[in-house]
Amino acid sequence: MTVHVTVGPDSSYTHPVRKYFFEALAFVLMLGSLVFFYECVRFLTRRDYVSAILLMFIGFAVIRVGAELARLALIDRH
Amino acid sequence: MRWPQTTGSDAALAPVPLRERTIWDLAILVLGLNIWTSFLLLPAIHLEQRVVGVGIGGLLVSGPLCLLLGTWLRHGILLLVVYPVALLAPAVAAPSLVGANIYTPWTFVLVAASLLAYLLATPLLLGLLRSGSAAAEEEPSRDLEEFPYTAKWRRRIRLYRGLALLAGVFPAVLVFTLYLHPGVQADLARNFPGRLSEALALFGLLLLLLWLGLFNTYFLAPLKAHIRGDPQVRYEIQRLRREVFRRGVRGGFYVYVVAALLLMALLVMVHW
Repeated sequence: MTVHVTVGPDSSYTHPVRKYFFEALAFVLMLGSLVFFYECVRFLTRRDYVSAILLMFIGFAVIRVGAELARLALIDRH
Repeated sequence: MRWPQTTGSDAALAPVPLRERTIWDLAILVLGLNIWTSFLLLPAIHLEQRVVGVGIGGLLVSGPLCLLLGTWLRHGILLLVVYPVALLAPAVAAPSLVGANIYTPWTFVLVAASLLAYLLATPLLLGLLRSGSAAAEEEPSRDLEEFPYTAKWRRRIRLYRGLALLAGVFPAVLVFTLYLHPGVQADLARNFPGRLSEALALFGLLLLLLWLGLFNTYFLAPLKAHIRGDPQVRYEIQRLRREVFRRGVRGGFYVYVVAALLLMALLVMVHW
């Protein structure tokens, strides 16, 4: 499937800092989600199941945002 | 990485010299013995005689034998499936070999890095050995590295490498937390008296399911889709690109990201 993209006159410009920013942020968020999964395991072993489930979903949300940012970092603006 | 050459204009690549092949075989052996030594041999040496009996000793030796046979035959299944399973057999028979009193965080990182190095390097070296021995008969191949990458592909490859690194870090941290973290072991012993092994088995299964879900959704799927040039992903990226051009990234996005990072930092500060 081919999609033709119309771009504006100033679209060839991409700030290089922004690309690296998205990449670094994606990496930090994906790694940061590991903190929530780690805490999820800790709460599970303390029989605090509700907290563990909540932390697991927060971990899912954070890793999801990280993955979306990684996708944004891949976008070419030219 | 080797890639079939389509033009066939260059001369066929010469087969890899025997000396080079021997070095690659030795590299597989050294990487395999490295993990066997750090994972099983050193703990076995430091444990008492009654823990490591004759049966466990036999299981310990079966790993290197399997490795030797796999390297001799250059057999992928033997090296990548049977050998890791053979490494697990003594640990299952004598769990004290891999208990929480054996591993510190650093020794666990060492063993995990050894395993990852072995699992990543062995298929690569086997591929080189096979392509080298068959180079004279089959169609010639050429290194992808000969061709310069565009900026877009350099960025993609950087992200792929980051994802691969995280795919190694995630299970290592989760396994260490559940099975080897002293605080978690104390919590388990306090909260599940008399049912410690059952609780560990259940939580281990839950962790495995969690990791398989994460790996499939966030690590494997994007890599497979991008490598195949999946039309749906291309369409999605083009849709995102159009949105970025139309609206740019809104200020609220940065606010939410900063808030998420601050909350994560707060969580870390509260616990450590």
